Amino acid sequence: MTKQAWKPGAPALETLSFTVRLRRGGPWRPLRHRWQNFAVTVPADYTVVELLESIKGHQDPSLAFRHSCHHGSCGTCAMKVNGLERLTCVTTVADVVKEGGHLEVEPLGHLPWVSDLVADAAPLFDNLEALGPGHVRMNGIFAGCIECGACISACPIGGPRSGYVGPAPLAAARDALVTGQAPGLGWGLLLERVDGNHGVWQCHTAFECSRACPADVDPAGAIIQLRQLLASGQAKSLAGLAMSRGSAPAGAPAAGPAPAGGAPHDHRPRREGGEGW
Amino acid sequence: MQEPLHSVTQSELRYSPDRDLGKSRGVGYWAFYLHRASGLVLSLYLLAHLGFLSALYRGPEAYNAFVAIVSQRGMLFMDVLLAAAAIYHAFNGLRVSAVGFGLGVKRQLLWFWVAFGLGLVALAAFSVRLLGGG
Repeated sequence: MTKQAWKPGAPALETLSFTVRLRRGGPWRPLRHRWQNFAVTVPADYTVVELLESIKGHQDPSLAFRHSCHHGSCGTCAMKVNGLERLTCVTTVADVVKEGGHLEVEPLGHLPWVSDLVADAAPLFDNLEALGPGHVRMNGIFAGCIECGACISACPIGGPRSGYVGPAPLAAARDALVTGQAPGLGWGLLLERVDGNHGVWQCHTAFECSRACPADVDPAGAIIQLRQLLASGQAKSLAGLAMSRGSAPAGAPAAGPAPAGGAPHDHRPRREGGEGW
Repeated sequence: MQEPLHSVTQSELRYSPDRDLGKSRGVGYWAFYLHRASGLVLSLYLLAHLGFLSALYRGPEAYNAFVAIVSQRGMLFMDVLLAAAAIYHAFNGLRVSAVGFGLGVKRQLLWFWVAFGLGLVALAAFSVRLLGGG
């Protein structure tokens, strides 16, 4: 829904009146988790995060939620809206609620709950940094991922709390392999983790991660590609190739700064001119 | 600093505005839970089956009496439900295995419905044969 610009003298924008149910509480008071209802009337083209800001500003200043860019770039504001993962900054209330209806907002699942609508994305970031190509932290991205955590929340297997590496980090590992850029953990540990009990073989191909991804990253497709690479032995070949290129002659282009956290053995190989997978 | 290999840059639009995120969970999500539930049913049935077979230890009379009970028409409907679980688990398992190894990934949703349809046909054939006495 495109936002309408209101001009003085123009008729008022269409408004919607409905009830917002927000998940309140946090891990520090396990017996007092609750849903809190707020009656609101807002313009239909309000985004969900604007709605939350309105509630925080006018009804309950103690409400906790995360947001940053307000234009779908940072992934910070991902939450579950009516049970589905959404970027709340680009989801309008008209998209998800009708006049007189209910709108439920809760934090992302499968990530540690911090407070109210806030889930801690640190396990996701850690895994991305560990398994993703070296430039993940340099540019903050890989293959368009906005690191929102929606895939982890939507995955029926669970997230880092269950031990599962998770869809986005596995997609990052795939990117590291096919681009030949050293992951934070190094090649040996990358292969060990993606091929381990909590790696690609734990995925049950529900495809819900790809469905929930607001950036079209298709983590499920990446996981399947990783499986094929592992099953055919190409993963080891690619890692070996990348490692050998890491000891390229002097003068070879450097790959940028080391990932935060320090890689155990960062070979910084570049995949230049080689055949893609 | 060397350019990143990927074409995405910070200035580009990062989310897909035309992405249809749907109004509910996808078929694959429910297929996953149905697969787990049917697997649980089959596991419990296996345990119960082994328990029932222990009637053999008590002699032919005990076993025949048990078979007479489970051959009643009402119990045969339970067999249909068991067959439904087994057939779904088998057909969806084939789909999951195939897709998991890269076969038909782009059409995985179509394969689910194909597997589901074939399962229904197999279940109908089994039910007619079981309940119709064929």
